Amino acid sequence: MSGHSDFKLFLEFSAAITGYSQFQLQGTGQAELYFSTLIEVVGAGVVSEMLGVYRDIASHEYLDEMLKQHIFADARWGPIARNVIKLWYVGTWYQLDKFPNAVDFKRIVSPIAYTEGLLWRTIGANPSGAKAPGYGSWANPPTIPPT
Amino acid sequence: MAYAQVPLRNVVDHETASKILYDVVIVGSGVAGAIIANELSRNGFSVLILEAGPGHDFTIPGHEKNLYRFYSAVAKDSNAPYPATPNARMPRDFETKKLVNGAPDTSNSYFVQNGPFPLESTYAKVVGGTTMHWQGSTPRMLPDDFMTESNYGQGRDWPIGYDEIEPYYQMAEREMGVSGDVESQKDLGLRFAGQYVYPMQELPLSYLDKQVSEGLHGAQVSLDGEIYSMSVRTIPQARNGVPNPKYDEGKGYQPVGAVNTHQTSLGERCQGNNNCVPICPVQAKYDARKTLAKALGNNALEKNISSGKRIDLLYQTVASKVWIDPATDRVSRISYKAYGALQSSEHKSGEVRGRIFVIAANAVETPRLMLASGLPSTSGLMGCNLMDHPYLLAWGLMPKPAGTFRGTQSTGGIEELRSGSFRRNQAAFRVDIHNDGWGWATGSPYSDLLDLVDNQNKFSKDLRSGLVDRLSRQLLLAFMVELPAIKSNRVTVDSRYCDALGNERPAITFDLPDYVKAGLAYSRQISRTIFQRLGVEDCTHYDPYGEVGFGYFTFAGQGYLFRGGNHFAGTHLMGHSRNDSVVNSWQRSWDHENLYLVGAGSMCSIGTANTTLTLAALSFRSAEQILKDLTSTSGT
Repeated sequence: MSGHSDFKLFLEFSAAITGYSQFQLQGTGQAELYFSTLIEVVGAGVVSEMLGVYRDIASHEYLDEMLKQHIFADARWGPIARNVIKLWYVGTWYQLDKFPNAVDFKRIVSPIAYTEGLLWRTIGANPSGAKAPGYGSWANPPTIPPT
Repeated sequence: MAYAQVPLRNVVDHETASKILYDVVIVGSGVAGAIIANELSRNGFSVLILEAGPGHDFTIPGHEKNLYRFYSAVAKDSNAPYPATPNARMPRDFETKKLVNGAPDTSNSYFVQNGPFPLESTYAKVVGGTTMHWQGSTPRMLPDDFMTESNYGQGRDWPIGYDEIEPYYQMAEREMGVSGDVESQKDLGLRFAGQYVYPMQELPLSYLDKQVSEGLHGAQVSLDGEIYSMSVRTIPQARNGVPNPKYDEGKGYQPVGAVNTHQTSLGERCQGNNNCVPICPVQAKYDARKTLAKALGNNALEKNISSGKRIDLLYQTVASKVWIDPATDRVSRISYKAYGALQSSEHKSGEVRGRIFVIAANAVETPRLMLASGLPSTSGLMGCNLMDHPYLLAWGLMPKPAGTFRGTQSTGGIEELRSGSFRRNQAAFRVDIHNDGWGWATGSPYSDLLDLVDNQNKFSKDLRSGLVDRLSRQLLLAFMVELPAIKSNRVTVDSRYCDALGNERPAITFDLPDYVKAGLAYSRQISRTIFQRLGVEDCTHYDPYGEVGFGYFTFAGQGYLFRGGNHFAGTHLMGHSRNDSVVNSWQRSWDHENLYLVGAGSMCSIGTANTTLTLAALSFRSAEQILKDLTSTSGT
């Protein structure tokens, strides 16, 4: 999957919407799984089309504004992009359509997707039940990574 | 550090077990059953334990399977890590629904809910019982809690008092490995013998606790003419910390690590995984498998080998009927249904025999089994007096990031209002400061992520700072409110509603008296005082139409919502005679002299203490009496 022509673009796009670097995203070990999950549910053509929209605005000076206009406010791309954020943050695919089908239903895409969720590191915590911070660590002020 | 080694040699099959007359047959492998099993087998008596749930997790890989099941679960409820089977169902939080037009909910939840309030409390069915997913809080009950009827005209007095149970509290604290600070518990009126200290030093307060403590400093409230100063103190808990060198008159304490079949270095000190409920990944938290491992190890004792006395465990074996010999009124045997595959109801039936029988299946399943066996007891109180702790939750945002979502789920609490003259008029309470945010109340952190992404349209760095702002400042106060024994709150069975094996499901009838509603309402008032003092933005709201709206009620014109506490008790309570109670103070059935019903079901009140420590203490006390029974009848 990492050889897929859109994979690199998917990583760039993910970095732009999550606020984490591609290096950090790759470090979760989940990038390929998230990319293949996305393709499985919405189809390779749709993913490619959305990433194409992103590619066209990627080098814009005001990227966040462009993302709002062309991705998040778009009836087709908005829901998908928001789902990609949730995948990265809590490892969960949230059902997109009103009715579930064989691939589009709420699930944690892998046990490690849960423990690698970005949400926990964002708030200087560990995923509940994994990556033990150590005895007494909770007594100190939190170390919240700068954005 | 010791680890809890499980010897593999004690595997017995149903056919072999059914041919043995055991000294004691125990139903349930939770903390009560495990303690009694260990006490009896180490003293040279044969024991058979029946466990309804699966029992494959006596090893680290088995435990990790549960952990990965938890990681993968979308609904991370208390039972999410444990294998589910329709043959031995566990109540699930998310099965609880609002009753429609007040009609009982007989649908596909495990509990038949008669109302008026459906109860969302749960327990586990797996080797080790509900200690697999308990939080591990082990406060003692206050001396006052044992005589609320005499002192406050509420609930029922126990036939025994605090001082009679105190030595057994010490045994339970040793067995479960309690970390805590005796001095701060003494302030609450608790008496400890001699120079007693807990086996391990108190777990450090969280940074969040300390922020609350600083903000509270000197806060006073007046109630029923008395002044109470509120402060934050550590919660005693059955979780490995730093052993106290002063323990046991200077002998110290050796913590018990993870359960496994061979040496392992897991399970030493609490690592702050923030996940005590539903599963401690490093097994720093006590669970009854640690005691079961010791108990099963008694098969290697010289005296047991030479006498042929064994301790055996049969899992996936559901006790289905208790049989009474009409000539003697003694229990003669227990029928079981044993299943193989978790998802198939195919099963084998059989019977087991013993000289003494102990039902330790928990305060819902024990009366369920007795009632399904047609044994309501002479007093008719089997299943009555169901207690649980209703919780009132209050939540808000601290002025600054407080590092929420770190550490053991609760390290500190506010306990000054656990007793006082006000108990004549309203229920007492204890407050836990939650280190795991608003999760219990709102579904945080997931609900916050969805709100920020879907409604507030945050992404990238704005999302990150939004999450810090919303999550790291979260403060949740959980008010555990006492509920006295009330006869009409009860567990019953109804042959119309059975599980996959044809065993009757428990039916729950549950209401809150005004005495408790007044305590819940006052809790909300106190939460406002605390929040005002701390400068907390109060975000509490109680939605009668929300997912947990079934706990909504109004009191004195205001709306409140209570949650279940998972502390079932009272359903075979102890007393002075066969007419006023189900068991005596040793938890022996008044009606059947070779039958013990043990656990929180024997408790006449639960005050504002989590029930496990007290039921563990009672188990040690009962084990002493059972040993006497066995010794006095050993020739027969």
